[in-house]
Amino acid sequence: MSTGDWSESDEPEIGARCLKLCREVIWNANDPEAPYTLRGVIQSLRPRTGYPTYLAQPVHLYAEFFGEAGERDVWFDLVRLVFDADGDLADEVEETVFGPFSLNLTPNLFVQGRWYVLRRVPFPAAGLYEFRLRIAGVSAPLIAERVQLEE
Amino acid sequence: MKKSTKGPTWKKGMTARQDYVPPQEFEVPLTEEQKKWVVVDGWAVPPERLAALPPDAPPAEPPAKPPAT
Repeated sequence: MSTGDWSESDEPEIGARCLKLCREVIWNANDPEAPYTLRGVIQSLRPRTGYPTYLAQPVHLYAEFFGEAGERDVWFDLVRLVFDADGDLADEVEETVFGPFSLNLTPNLFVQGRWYVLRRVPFPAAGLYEFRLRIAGVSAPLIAERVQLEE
Repeated sequence: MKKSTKGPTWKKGMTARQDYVPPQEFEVPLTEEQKKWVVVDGWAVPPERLAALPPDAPPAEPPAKPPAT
């Protein structure tokens, strides 16, 4: 997904250039040019146990931020996208909220990676879900990541 | 930040070397009903649905433990 739409009135001072859901994020201090390794980037999930359910294993969300230094609150909305028979978006259901998390960006860095460990992520039904990265004072998500929950 | 700048930009004096920042964690609280669920193959299942699982499903694990304090 690309960066969310920013309106003139609430244009954020920071942005996020990527958001990835994965099994694990690994930090490698010996590789300062590429210090983060994402293992098992998740594209879809298929619980053989049916729905409703929640993930008993933690998942990791990795984000890269850029922009003005400072401390802010961010959080993730987990939204289920509901489509009608024609494939048009009919509804958006906020299933849960992860956070808030304190995001402290330091000055003079090109990008700043952060990762978040989410436990017991609930999925009440099969379908398309979106993790939306939100920041206080800005109406649109900074960025979103989609995952398909298969039947 | 200008609206046209939707990606990071490089300015004089910048660096790309980051210090380690530990991950932040969040655990979704369980409802009273979910506390009774068991874990099968990494997923939580209401006990009444266990009988309907595929015959090759792994054995169920105990219900999720309460959050660590």
